[in-house]
Amino acid sequence: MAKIGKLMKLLMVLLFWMGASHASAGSLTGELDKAEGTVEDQFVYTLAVQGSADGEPKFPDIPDIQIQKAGTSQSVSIINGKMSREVQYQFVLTASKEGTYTIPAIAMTIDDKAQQTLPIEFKVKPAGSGTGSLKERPLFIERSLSKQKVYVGESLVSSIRVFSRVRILAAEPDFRYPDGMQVKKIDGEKSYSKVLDGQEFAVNQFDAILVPNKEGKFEVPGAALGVRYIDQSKPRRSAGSLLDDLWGQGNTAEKRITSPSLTVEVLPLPLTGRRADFSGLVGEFTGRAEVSSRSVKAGETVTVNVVIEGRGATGGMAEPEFDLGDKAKVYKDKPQSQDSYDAAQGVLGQRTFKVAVVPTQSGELDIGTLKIQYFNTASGHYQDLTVDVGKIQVMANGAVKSAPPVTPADAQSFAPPPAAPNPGVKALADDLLEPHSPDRLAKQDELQTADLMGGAGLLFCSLILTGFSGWKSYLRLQGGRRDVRKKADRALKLAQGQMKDARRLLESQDVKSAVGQAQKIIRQYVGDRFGIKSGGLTLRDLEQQLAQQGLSTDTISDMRRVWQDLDQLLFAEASADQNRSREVLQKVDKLLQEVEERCAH
Amino acid sequence: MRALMSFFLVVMFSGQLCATTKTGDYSAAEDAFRQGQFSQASKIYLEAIQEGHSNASIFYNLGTSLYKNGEMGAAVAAHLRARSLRPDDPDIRYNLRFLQEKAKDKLDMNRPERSWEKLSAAHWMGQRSLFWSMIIPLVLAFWSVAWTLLTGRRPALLWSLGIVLFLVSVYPGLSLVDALWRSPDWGAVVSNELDVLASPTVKNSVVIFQLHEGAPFMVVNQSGDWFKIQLSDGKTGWAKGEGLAIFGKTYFSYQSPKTDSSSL
Repeated sequence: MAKIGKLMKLLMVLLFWMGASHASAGSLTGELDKAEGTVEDQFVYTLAVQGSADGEPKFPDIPDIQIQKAGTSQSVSIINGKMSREVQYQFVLTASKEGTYTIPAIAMTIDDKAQQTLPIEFKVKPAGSGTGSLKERPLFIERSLSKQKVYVGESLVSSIRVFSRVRILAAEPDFRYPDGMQVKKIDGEKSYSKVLDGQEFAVNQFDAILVPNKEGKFEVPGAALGVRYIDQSKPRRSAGSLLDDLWGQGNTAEKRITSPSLTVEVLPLPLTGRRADFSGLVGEFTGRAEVSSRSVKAGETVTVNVVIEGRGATGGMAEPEFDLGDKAKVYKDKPQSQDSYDAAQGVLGQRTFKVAVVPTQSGELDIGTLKIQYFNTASGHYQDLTVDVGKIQVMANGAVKSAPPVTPADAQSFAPPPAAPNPGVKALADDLLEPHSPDRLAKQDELQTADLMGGAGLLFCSLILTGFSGWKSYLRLQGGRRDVRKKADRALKLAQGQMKDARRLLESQDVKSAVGQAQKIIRQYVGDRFGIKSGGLTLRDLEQQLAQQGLSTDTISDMRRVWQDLDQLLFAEASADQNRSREVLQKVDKLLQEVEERCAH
Repeated sequence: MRALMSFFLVVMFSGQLCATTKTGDYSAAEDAFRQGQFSQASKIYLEAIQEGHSNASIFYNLGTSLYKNGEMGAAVAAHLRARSLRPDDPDIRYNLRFLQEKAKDKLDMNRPERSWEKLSAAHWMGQRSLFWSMIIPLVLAFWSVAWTLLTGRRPALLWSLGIVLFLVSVYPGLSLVDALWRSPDWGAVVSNELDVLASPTVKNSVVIFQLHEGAPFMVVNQSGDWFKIQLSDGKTGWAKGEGLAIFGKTYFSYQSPKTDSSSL
C-alpha cells in the first residue's frame, strides 16, 4: 500500500509538472488601446511575446497609417519554480485621414512554434469629432483654401492655422501640397490670438500661393504637425518640482495633429477666343509703360519698363515682343516678378519687363502699343490688355540740341537729318578675318618645358661662370697679398745679401757704385717691406712711408742722415774716403735692422 | 664648350622642331575651311589643342572655323584664348571686336586692373617672349660681372652694365609672373540664354543674372560640371559647363553641337 501511495504521489507530481510546462508554452498577443478615435489621436498597439521569440517582431505596413515604435518592456516571472519571460513591444499608430483600418495578424516563431495575433479593426473619425468641446482640444490644426474651383493658371491661397492653448516646446510640420500645382510659400508666418467657444487660442498661420498648371480634381492633403508640448492636465508626480520652474506645471507630451484633407477643382481654360500669343496670365490685370527718355541720339540707350500688375500670379507670363525691325536694337533684361498675398484682395501680382532700346536710325521711333491677352476670371473670357509705350524722337548722332516737344502736326512734318557717322567708331567689316596660314601655326606661343629648361640651363651656366670668376678673382687677390707678405718677410734678407755686394764693390775701390748700390738697397727694402713700388722713391717719399708705417722720428732722422751721408759720398768731387764709406754702409745695415725691429713690434 | 652650345641650341629649338610635324594636318584644316567644311576644320584644330599645341594662330583659326560653323560663343572663347597667348596680334584683336559687336551682351573682354597692372608687358607680349626677355638680359648681366671678375678690366663699366641689365630683366620678369599667375582663363556663353546661379546646383539656387550667346567671362573656380564665372564688372555666379565654352590653360569645357552645318 505504501508503494502504491508513493507511486500516486509521483504521478501527481508528474502531472503537475506537465501541467506547469504546458502552461508556460509560448504565446503571442496583440492589443490596441482603443477601438475608435480621431485623426488627431494616437493609437497604442501592444504586442506581448511570452517565451523565446525568434527575432524582433515586424509591424505590417497599413496605408494612411504612420507607425512609430514606441518602446519595449520586459518582465520575468517565476511561478512554481518555472521561469517565464514576457516582452512587450509598443507601437504608436497615427492615421492621416479618417476611415476604418485593420491591423493584420502579426506572425512570429515562439519556442519553435509558429504563433500569430488576431487582426484588430479600429475606426478613425475626422479631427474634432471625437470631443464636442474645444475645452478638451487644447491643440488643433485646420487648413482652408481661398477657392474651391479655379481655372488652370489662376492662383488660390492655402492657409494653414495652428490653434494652441498649450506651451509648445517643439513642432515638426508636415505641410504637403498636391502635385500639379506650383507652390509659392509666403514668407513669414502670421501670429495672432482668437477666441473660440470662449477659449482663447494662440494662432499661427502659414499661407502659400498655389497655381494649378493642369486641370482636374485635386485632393489637398491635410496639414499635419508633430508637437511636443506641456500638458497641464497631467501634473508632475512631485508638486513644486524643479522642472515646474523651467517649463511650467505639467508633463511633457507629444502629439501629432492633422487637419482634414480638402478638394479643389481645376477647370481648363476655354479654347474659344484664345490666341497663339496668349500671355498665360489668369486673373484681372492692368499694365503701364515707363520710358526713360523720349528724345535721344541714335546709338544711345532708352530704357523701357513694362509693368503688368493685378489680381493673380504673374510668374508664368510670357515676355511681350517688341518688333522694331532695323530701326532699333532691343535687349531684354530678366523679368522681375513679385507676387504677394492680401487678405482682402487675394493674390496680387506684379511683373516688370525691362528692355533696353537702342535706336539705330534718326527720326521718329514708334515703339507702339503692346497688346497682351489674358484670361479674366471675373468675366470668364479672354481680354486684351493694352500698354501704350509711345514714340521716341531720335536725333542723328552728333546733334546736341535738345528735341522740341513733338505735336501731332510736327510729327507729320518731322524730317530727320541725315545720320552723321561717329568719327570715334570705325565701321567693322561683315565677316571675320581670314584664318592664318599653316606655317604660322607651328610655333608654340605658350611657355614650354624646353624654354624653361633652356632658360634655367643658361642661368645655371651663367651662375657657375660668375662663381668661377669670383673664385679666381678672390684667389688672385689673396695671391697678391701673399706675395707682398712674402716679400716683406724676405726684405731684410734680400737687403743684407745685396749689402754684401755693395761691400765687395767697396773693397774693389769702386766707392761710388757701392754707395749707389746702398741707396738702391734702402729703396728696395722700403718698397718690399711696405708693399710699394720702390723704383722712383726719393728721400721725402721714404720719410713719408716710414712716418705712415708709424716709425719713430728718431728712426726717420737716422734714415735721413744715412741717406744724406750716402749722397755726400756719391756726389763728392774727390774720391771718397773708403773708411768713411765703410762706416756709412755699416750705418745702412744698422738702419735696416732698426726698421725691421720696429716693424716687427 | 661646343657640346654645351649644341645642347642649348637643341633645347631651345626642340619645341619648334616638334611642332613642325603638325603642318601637314594644318594644311588639311585649311583645305577643309576653304571647302566650307568648317566643322572638319574645327575638329583638326581641336585635336591639335588637345595634343598640347598652344599656338595663338591655332586658337584663332579654330575661332574662325567655329564662327563659320554657327558657334559664335565658342568662337569668342577660342579668340579669347588666342589673345591670351599673343596679345599683340592685330588679327585676333580685330576678330574679337567683331564678335563683341555681334554678341547680344556687350560686355567688356578685359579684366578690371589697377593702374600699375596696366603697365604690364603682358598686354603686348606673349609668355615665351616675356620669358626670354627676362632670361637674356639676366644672363648678359651675369656674363658682364663674370668678365670683370675674371679679368679685372673695366670693373666700374662692367659692374654698371651688369646692374642695368639685371634691372632690365626685372620688368619682363614681373610681367611674366602677372601673365602666369594672375591672368584668368576666359570663356564665353554658347547657349542662347544662360541662367547664372548663386550656387552650383539647380535645386534651391537663385538665378543671379542671365547671359546670352557670346558673352565673355573669366573662370574663377570649378565644381564638378559647374564653373564659377566672373564678368568684367565683378559679378560672379555659377553656370553649368554645357552652356559654356572654355579653352583655358587650367579650365577646358567645350561640347560640339550635334548637328553639323557646312556653311553659316
